[in-house]
Formats: sequence, C-alpha cells, structure tokens
Amino acid sequence: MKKEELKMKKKTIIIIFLIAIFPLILCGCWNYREIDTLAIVAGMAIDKDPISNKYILTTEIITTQTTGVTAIIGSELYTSEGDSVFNATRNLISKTGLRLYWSDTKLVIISEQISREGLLPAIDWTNRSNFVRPDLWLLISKGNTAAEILKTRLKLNGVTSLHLDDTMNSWKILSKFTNSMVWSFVDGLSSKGNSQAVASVKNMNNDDTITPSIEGSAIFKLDKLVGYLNGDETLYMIMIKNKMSQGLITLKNVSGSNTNITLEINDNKTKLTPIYNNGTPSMIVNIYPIVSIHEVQGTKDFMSEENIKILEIEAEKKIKSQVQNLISKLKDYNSDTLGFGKVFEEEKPKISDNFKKNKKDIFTNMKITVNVHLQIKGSNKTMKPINIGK
Amino acid sequence: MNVNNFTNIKLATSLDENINKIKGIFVNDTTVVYRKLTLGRPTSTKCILIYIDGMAGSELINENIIKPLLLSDISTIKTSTIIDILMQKVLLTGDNKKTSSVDDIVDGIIYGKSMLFIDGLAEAISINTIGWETRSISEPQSETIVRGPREGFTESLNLNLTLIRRRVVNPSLKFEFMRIGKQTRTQICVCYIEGIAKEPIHQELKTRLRNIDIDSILDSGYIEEIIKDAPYSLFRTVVNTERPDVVVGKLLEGRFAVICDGSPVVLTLPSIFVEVFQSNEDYYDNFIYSSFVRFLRWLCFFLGTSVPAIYVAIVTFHQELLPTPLLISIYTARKGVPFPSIVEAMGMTIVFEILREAGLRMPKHVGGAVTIVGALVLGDAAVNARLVSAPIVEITAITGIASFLMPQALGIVVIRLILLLLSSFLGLYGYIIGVMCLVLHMMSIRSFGVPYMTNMPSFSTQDIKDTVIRAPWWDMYLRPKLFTKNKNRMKK
Repeated sequence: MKKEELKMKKKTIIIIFLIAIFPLILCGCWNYREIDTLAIVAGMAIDKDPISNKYILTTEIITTQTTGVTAIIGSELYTSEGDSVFNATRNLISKTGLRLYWSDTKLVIISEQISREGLLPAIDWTNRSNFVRPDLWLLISKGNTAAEILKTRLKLNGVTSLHLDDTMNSWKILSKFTNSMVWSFVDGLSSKGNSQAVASVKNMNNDDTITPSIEGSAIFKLDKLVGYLNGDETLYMIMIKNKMSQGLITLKNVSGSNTNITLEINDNKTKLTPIYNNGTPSMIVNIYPIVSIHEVQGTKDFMSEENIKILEIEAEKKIKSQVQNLISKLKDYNSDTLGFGKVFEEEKPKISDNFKKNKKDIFTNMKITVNVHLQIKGSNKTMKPINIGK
Repeated sequence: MNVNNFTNIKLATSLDENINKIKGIFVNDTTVVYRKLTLGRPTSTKCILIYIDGMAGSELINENIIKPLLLSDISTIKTSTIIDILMQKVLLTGDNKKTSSVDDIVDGIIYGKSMLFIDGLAEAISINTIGWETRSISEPQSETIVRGPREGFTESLNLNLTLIRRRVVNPSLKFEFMRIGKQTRTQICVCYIEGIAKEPIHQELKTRLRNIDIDSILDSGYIEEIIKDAPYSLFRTVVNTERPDVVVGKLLEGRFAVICDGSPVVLTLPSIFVEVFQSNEDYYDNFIYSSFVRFLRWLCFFLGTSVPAIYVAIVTFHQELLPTPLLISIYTARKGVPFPSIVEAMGMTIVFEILREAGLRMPKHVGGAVTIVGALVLGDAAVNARLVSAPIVEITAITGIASFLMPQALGIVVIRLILLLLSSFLGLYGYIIGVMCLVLHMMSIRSFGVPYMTNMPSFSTQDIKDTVIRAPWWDMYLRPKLFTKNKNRMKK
C-alpha cells in the first residue's frame, strides 16, 4: 500500500516536472537558419518614383569573396519597387534569392523629396517591423537621391553603409551633425510642437571619386522637411540642446590683429530659463562653454591676462551672434528643434496650454536672450605663438 | 565468498599424509616446490618446506630457513615443543606464524609464503618469504606535476602502504584489510585516520565493500563502480589518484582511501565536485598563482562543456546576438561550407576524440604521425578545402584542450555533446535546459552521505577557501566540515 502511494507520488512529480519544462521548450522563436543563408543588409535607401508614386528601395547587402586565406568584404546594391516600403522589401527577395537579414542594418537614408512630402510613411516599417532594430541612423540625402549615396564606393571601407555608420558614431567629436535615429525621431514627434533635426548627407568630390559626406542637418516641422542647417549652425544647435561634448570654434583676426585662433570646446553647459511677462514668453539662454586654445595662427601673444580677457570676450561675442543667427533662422523655418516649447511645457505648463488653446506657436512668439559665459582653460602643449627668430 | 573452500580438509599428524593433501590441491602445478628436510642428523625429525618458485624469494629461503634448519641440533627435543623452538630459536625470518587451517596454508603458498610441515604435527609454520618482483617507484605519467613529491603508487599493496605510512608517522593511521573476488581473492585495504574520519562513513564503506560479490578485481576501478553513489551518473562520486601525497592530503581531510592490490590507482571517498578542480600542486605553490590556475580550470570546465553548444545556438538561431564585425567574419567563414553547423561541430568533436584516443593507445613513435595528420590534414586542409569552417576548427581545438585541464578526468565530452545536441534544435533555450538539468542532477547526487555539490552554493569564506580559489594555508584552519568529526586543522 505504502509503496504504491510512493509510486503515485513519483508519477505526479514527474508529470508536474514535464508540464513545467514544456513551456520552456516550446516558447521562443523556432527559427533555425544557417548564417550563410542570409543576405546581411548593411543599409537601405528609400526614394520615391515621382511618376508612378512607388517607393524605390535600395539595399546594400554585404558580400564576401575569399581568395585563399584572405577575405574581401564588399557590398552589392539591390533595388526594388513597391507600393509600400514593406512591399519593396519583399520584392527584393526575388532578386537576392536569400532571406534578408535586417538585424545588422545600420542606417536608412531618405530622399529629400520624400522628406518634404512627409517622412513618417517611409520610416513606419523600419520602426514597426520586428526584423529591424529601432536604433538605425536616420539620414536625409541633400541634393542627391538616397540611392546615389549608397552607390558611392570607398576604398577605406568596402561597405558604404558601414562607413557612414562609423561617421555617425563620431558625431560627438565633430558636433557638425546630429545623432538622429529612427526611434528618437518617432519619439520626438509624439510630443506636440516639437520638431526634429536629422543629419543630412550628400555626395562630394574627394580625390577624384565621389564619396558621401555627412554634414549639417535637415530641419523638420513635424515630419516635413522645411530647410537645412550647415555644419557650424548645427554645432550651435547641439550647444543649446546641451549635448555638446567636443567641437571647434575659429575666431578670425582676433581684435583686429593678424592672428586667427581655433578654440576647442571641452565641455559645455547650457541653462534654459523660461520667463513669462505681460503676455510675452521669453527664454534666457545661458551658455557656459569651457574651451582651450588649440591653434594659434599669427604672432600676437594671447597668453597674458589682459589678452586672454580680450580673447574670451571676442569668443563670447562670436558664439552669441552665431546662436542668435541660428535662432532667427529657425524662427523663419517655424521649427522648434531647440525644444524651447518643451521647456515651457515642462516648467510653465499653464502658459504652454494657453498658447495651444489659442493655436499660437509659442516658439515664434518667444523673446530670446542669449548670454555666453566662456572660460578658457588653457593652451595645449605650448603657451606662446611661434615667433620666427630675427 | 571463497570458492576454494578447504575447511573440510584437516591436517593430519603424518607428514606424508599432509604432503599428499597439499599435492592434491596443487595438482599438476610444477612451480610448487616441495623441499624435504631432516633437522640436524639424518635420523632426526623430518620436515617439508612448501613454496612457489618465483613468488617466494629463493635466497631468503636458502639462507634463513633451509640453512639453519639443516645445521640445527635439536634431535633430543620432543615433537610437541619442536614447533615453538623452531620458530623461536632456529628460523632466521621475522614473520613466522603457526597455522593449522588448510585455507590459510593454501592462500599463503599462493601469495609467496613458505609453509614448513613437521612430521608428527597437525600444524605448519607459515613463514613470510614473499619475494616477487615489483615495479620500482616512479612518477605517475597521468598526474605529472612541476613542484611536489614525485613518488607514485605501484602495483604492490605493501609498497603502497609504506608510501602512505611514511607520510603520516602516527599510530592513528589505520589500515583494514579484506579480500574481495571469488576467484582472484584480491587484497583490499581501507585506510583512514582515526579521530579525523567520521564513523558513519566508515561503517557505510565497510558494508558496501562486504556486499561486493564479484569473481574478480583486476583494478580499483571495479570497486569504484560497484560502491559508488549515483552509479549511472557521469560524475565521479569516488575519485582516484596515483599519488601518495594526494591520498594523505585527502585522509587528513577525513576521507577514506581504498587501496587495491595489483592496482596503482587508489580510490578516495567521499568525493565532491570541487575535487575535479583540485590538483595537489595547488597546495605546494604560491596561493595567488594557485588561485589563478583554479580559476582557469573552472573557466575551462565552462569552455569545454559549452562553447560548441553556444556557438551553434548563436550561429543558427540567434544571429542578432553577434556584433556586425563578428557576424561578417563568421558569415565569410561559413560561406561555401556544405554542412550545417551542427554537423560540422559534431563531426569535428568526434574527430578530435578519435585523434586523442589514437594518440593515447598508439606506440610512442607513431604518436608524432598522428599529431601531424591531426594538425595539418584535419585542421588546415579541411578549412582550405571548405569542408569545415575555420571557427569550428578553432572551437574544437579550444574545447579539446580545455578539457585536459581538469586534474580529475571527467567525461566532459559527453556533457559537451549533449548540450550541443540540445542547442542544435532548440537554440540557447536548449542549452539552458541542458545546463539546468545538469545542475539539478549534480545537486541531487550524494557521495557517502555528503552532498556532491558541497560548498558550491556557499559564499562563506571558510567554505570557498578551497574551491574557486586556494586560500593560503594559514587561513585554511578548518577541515571541510561534512567529512570530519574533528574540524580544527590548526589554531586560528
């Protein structure tokens, strides 16, 4: 009797164990595929045929050639058309023969034309699909079609998309374009009145070949392209957005002398203070850059205390005027990429709501004061300018 | 137990009758020597010395038994006291015993002892004249070390016991003998240190040994498989060594050693999982370096069991886990290879095992050829011919080498193949299920009442002192608590 009870107990334990272990086995993605049956997509470009109104999808697929021990990594472009982007990606399979593998896709380039009409339909699939990672770089091709960017060939890197990925990764050093990603663009659109800046890319001549170059940014009003900023303007935009980590400022003919000085921004803090007074919203922008002197072209010595003061004032002036230029330009575009509206929304929500009710744009009506508090930390290795011995 | 049961045969007082009885047992055995003797004068008492040529040392017999017997002058003594006088005054050998059991006599003769029968007595003198050849003490080839004693056990039980006894000069070191094997009657010795070893484990070991019913014991491996816990498990709940210093180290932690005559491999028990990673050299070398080596072994246990499984899982199921450069690199290597990854991994693992086994069994001068064939033909040439991809060769090599790092041989390759199989059709899920089952299994094993994974889930400093790290000796002041009844090794 007791033995049988024990047996029953054992049986129930085994059954419970099996029930517990089956979900483990049966869950997850049953997705066996050998790595060499994939077509690794490194990047994609989306254009639109103006006549048939179809999306033209260009994908850069990584190819490898092995000759003996060495392997050459290159890429091939495959183009397909479709009524939607997803349609186009499916149509591609008839050309590649292999399943497309999107997990290592680095970027999506959207043509200027699509951007002007509205970016969202073109990037919806990349944002929605579970095959594609949301942290794709988002680039706008300026002047060229998106496919033309991918058609360029570099010797530095066999795969253009990977080259562009490397370039985008170094945005912090250069600060001349923004680190725009698909998810952050979509995320930014969800807060009202906010606009986005997306890095722009165009083909340039370089050593007799055409290479893509990322510089400046495309300014959006909602999801429509309204204009461009050049590299320097983008730098000041990044400065105001408090995302600056490194960047260069060149001052020409400092205080009337023959000397040009290049400053590197080592660190920067920007404080935005929203003020509301008698019906006019205003914003005080306090910028605190810490810079160091990195290049002195000329003979004037700026290391003495007075001269450093002069240099500081000159640099502050330059930054201030540039920032003011940028703001007026953005006001012309009617695009609040700086996020001033959002600051109001967060710190003075009542006023922000008021403006929204009256359907008035808070950014274009804003009075903006810029104060720059620059601090020179030092010079690099040498203190003095190079004087030619007489 | 004993098939050669002679208890019904009794010795007679007549010498000729006794000779016939012994001759009846050793029929047709020409190696048995029957040396007839007469004590002193030709008319004195007659004796006979029986021994086996080769098993007994002939020089010892000639000088210390036959010579004094022939030269003795004890004809006047009565036959009833002659046996004591012979033992006390005449024989020059050290170990003499009176015996009347035919069992003992026959066993003794077979084992190399000499039996002296005296006319008129139903008794014999058993003289220890064991003198067979033994292998000299040398360093065991399977357990070579750089620093530490170089002695290794031999096939002789007595010699092995002296190797242990020399290291523990202490009367509480105990030896218990028994014979196992109906046909072979192999001598087994259980060795432990009284006061350190636990009595319940001792009793359990004794019952298990006593219950063995087997015809032969040719190596301690027979005993290991019969007495060990979890007999179907891959893991060793009884570990073995050929080094006396290792055995003594384990005895001093409260373990028991089982020494088997005819085998240089000594069993120690109870045994826990950590012992797989413990080498005796760890305790002789600098503790920081030893800890590093320990850590390496744990790492290699992981590598040896898991790397092919994880590789196959990632390459066939979870390519998303690979960073782009690595993905492209594996992609390039896999391009044009005709077999699926799992076939590659399985095939190369088996090829490696074939090579390893071939190298082990082959005569030494052929071994070089195997290495060249293995390295060139199966590695480089296979990759160049695009039969296997380079990463698989790399992985097979690293896992193969990694599994050699364990001082206690463990069937790592079996675990590796099971995990590989699981992950080949379930991806990382399969791998994790495999690992979970493995851990559950290991957690459930016990060795003579001691949990196999003792100290594994612990974070107390005295528990981990000898697991992933090897603490300095002055800090290992406690013995492992589950083995011993005397915990304190030294003053704190």
